[in-house]
Amino acid sequence: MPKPFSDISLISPELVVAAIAFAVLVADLVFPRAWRKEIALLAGLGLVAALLPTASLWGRGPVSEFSGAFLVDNLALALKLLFTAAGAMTVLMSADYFMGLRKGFGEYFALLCFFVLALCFMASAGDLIVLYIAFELSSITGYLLAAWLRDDPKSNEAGLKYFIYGAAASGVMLFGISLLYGLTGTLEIRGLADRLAANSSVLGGVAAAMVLAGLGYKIAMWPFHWWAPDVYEGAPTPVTAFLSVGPKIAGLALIVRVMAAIQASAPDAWPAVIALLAIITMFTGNLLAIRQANVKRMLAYSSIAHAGYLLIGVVVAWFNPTGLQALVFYAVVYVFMNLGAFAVALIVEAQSGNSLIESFAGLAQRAPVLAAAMTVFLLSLTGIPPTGGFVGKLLLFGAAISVPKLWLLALAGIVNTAISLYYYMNIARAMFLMPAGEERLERVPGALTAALVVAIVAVLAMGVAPQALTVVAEVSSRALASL
Amino acid sequence: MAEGMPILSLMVFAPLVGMIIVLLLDRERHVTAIRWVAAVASGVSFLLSLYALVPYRLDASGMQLEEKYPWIPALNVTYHLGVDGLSMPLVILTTLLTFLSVVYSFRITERVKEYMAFFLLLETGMLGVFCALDFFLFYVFWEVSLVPMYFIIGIWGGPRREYAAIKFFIYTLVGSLAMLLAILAVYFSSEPRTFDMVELIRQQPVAGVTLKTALIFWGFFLGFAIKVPMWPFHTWLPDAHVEAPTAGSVILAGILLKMGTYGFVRVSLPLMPEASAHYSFIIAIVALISIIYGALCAMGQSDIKKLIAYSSVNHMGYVMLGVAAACAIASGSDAQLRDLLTSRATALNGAVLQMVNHGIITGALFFLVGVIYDRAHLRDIDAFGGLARIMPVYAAVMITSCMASLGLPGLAGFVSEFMVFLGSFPLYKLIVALGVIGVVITAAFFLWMIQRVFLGPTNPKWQALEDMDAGELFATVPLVALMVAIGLYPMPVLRVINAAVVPLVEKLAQHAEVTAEVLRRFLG
Repeated sequence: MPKPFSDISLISPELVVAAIAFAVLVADLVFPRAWRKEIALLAGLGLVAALLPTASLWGRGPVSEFSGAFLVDNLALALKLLFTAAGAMTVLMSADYFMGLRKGFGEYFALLCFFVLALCFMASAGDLIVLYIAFELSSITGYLLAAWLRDDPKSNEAGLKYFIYGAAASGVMLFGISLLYGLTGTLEIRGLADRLAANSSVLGGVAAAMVLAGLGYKIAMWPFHWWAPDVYEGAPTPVTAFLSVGPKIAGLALIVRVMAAIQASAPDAWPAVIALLAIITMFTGNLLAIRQANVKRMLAYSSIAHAGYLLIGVVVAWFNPTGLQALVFYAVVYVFMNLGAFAVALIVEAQSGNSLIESFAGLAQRAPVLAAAMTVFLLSLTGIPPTGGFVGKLLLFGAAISVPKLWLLALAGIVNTAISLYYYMNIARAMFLMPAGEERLERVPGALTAALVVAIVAVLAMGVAPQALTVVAEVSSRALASL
Repeated sequence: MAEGMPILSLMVFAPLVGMIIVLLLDRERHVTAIRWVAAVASGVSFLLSLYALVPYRLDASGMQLEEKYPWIPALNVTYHLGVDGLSMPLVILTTLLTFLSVVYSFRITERVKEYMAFFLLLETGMLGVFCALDFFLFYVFWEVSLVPMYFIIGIWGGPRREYAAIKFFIYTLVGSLAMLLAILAVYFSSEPRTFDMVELIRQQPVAGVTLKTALIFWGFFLGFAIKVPMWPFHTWLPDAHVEAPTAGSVILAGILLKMGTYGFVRVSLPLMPEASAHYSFIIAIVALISIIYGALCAMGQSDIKKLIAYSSVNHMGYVMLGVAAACAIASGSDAQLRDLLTSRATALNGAVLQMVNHGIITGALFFLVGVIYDRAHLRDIDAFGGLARIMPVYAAVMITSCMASLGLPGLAGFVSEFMVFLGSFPLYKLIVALGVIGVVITAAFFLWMIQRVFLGPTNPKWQALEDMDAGELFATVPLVALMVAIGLYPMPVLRVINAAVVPLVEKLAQHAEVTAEVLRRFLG
């Protein structure tokens, strides 16, 4: 019987995040209501601090711990850094938003930390049980957070919808996992390929498809995207922001891992299926986004479209590591540009009481800096230089072109990029071309400003000086090959 | 000049520095300062482009004033700038027209800060396109020039500005995305992988005519043809040019269109000589359609600005005809081929000169339309009459520019159009013969317009119109002077252009013969 684990430091990021979550819970119990700001600060600083142990593990591995249940490689570490940073950004965006909450302020931040924890475990999942438990933890925290404004019927609806769809999806996934276990007798993701190859059957494909369905729901991939617009619209805006980035990236990473694991035994139809799903997902998201009048709904469809773009990276990863490199790069850019766009939407919402596009009218005159920042995020989401979104799309489409026949995927991406310009520019149109109302914007809270500054600096830096991130993404992408 | 002074970088980024200063100024209290900062920044850029001529060797082929630094080593992207006889005239045209546009735009009173900021960003983008020698950098600048134009049309444009702005943006983005795919395909064909244009042209990674090369060629074609714009991709142009504010139209017609034709000559021809030869006939036909169709559309307009906009489709058709002739398939004896080589060079020289001339002439014409619109708030040809008596200076400047545009000998337009026809004739006899009809139609609609606007009985409604003011003269007189100068003595400009054209044409001619040989064997 081997030792259960040999190096506890490998799991230190998760330990730190969990400790912070509990600390926030205790602090909320112990300290009076007047200390709300400090509790948010604790969560934020804690998540920033959690970046350190993750960063210090960089380059370790690939190793597995807990009898193969827990993997540490550069891909997992890069994703953990990303999730923790996204969590910290979300704390900045949430602090003032929830300040007036009657109760549940501290619990909110604790749950957010648990959400980050779940995503970190998803990134490191080495067997199907850990994968499922992490998946469920992220889902349950998500349901709760989506419904956090308990007096707002829309928020309740969002939580309920997310829950019903999520419960069905995770049920299907669990069924798939049980089939895989029945077929192979192992839960370790790495061992799946050999065992599946040994007794190939239709059932193996069905089981893998069921797992894909569960993960597809997580990333809002067609045809499992139906929940996204309603949930995104109803959930509190900071929660929507985090839902649009965290679970999506974690789900994509798991799809890559599962695909890589079954690659040896799976038929070559798999990349074709994923490619088809990617194309349909892109078109679905972009075409439906055009008609939206609500910015949160529009960004929901835009995030569906982005799941499609990112799936291009998954398809290419089947053939060569540039796919994963592009995926990691784009994922990082996507997190910052999407959070940035939501931060601006949050400010406008706080001012106007709704998140309709018409509330952005004349923002360029009322708050020029804010409008300029939003324009940068929108251009980045479209993929126009000199923003990170451009370099990300260049890498994704370039990766597709580097594989014979996949240039069609790049072509689909290009067509979709052109479609998306229309609805992203619709917001720019409102901000710059439509007349302004009388009122100037109120002061933006400091925490939110900080989140905006981080996002804008990140998006521009990744566009103008993408060398560092390209190298990090390249190193991360080698993790799969060497395992 | 100081050795190693990065003169091109300074020139490209001077407007960007100006933009940052403009953004730091207060939009209500510092309006005058904002205007002057913009004028100084674009003026500095203009002076630097002239100063670049000092170290520039006029007769040398190949890239000059090069700057090359690693940028994204992981992707082999370099920061690589340089100019040659092809880009140098366009660079100076850009800095001149932008400077004049900024000065002309002093009369803008609405949201001055944003206007000047967008204009300066636009200048950096345009200059970057003409100086970039790395595809990544080239694409970045190409797109950077797109965004400010969207806002310039959308905010300061005419009644249908929103529609025109988004149509312009989506149309050109479709083109540039097709170009991006082509660039990526070229990148992944090269060995070692590189985005460097000079290196790629040396490597010839996509030589020959295969399915892949064909796709890449048409990818680039779409990107450039939409920008030119060639029929049938021209429909964004009348909307954008008509709705844009005066200075925006000047820049659109004067420079942004040239990015398309420049792309053909800088990228398509040298990078894919066989494919260019193979498809040259199609390009020539499309160019012919653009010439005739653009002219006929212009003839049908009742709005002066729309008339000039459509005349751009016609004039850019001449450029593309010259480009097509330069790479046309030809066969024959050695002596015949040598003669054809001269013809190719003449056609391409004419095409490049036509880019410069069209920028000068149409730039001036759009300024002049702005002059009348600012006063009368109308642009209908039929609404005027006898303006020559009321505004004699305006009439003189306008009529000179129209004459230059319709190709009157002695003015700039004639030289380049004549060279295009002269050079193309041995290669495409029928197409040139039909294309000359375009010149006749052009003459017809310009003369008709002059007659109805400036001559005839005076419309008493316009009795009180004032003649051109100092700002308007400042913007247009230098352009008219250039029309006359190039019309009378084009040699200084042609000498620079020719230095870049000759080696390119020699290479194209070889490939055109090879392609002809292949086709002959294939058919026989």
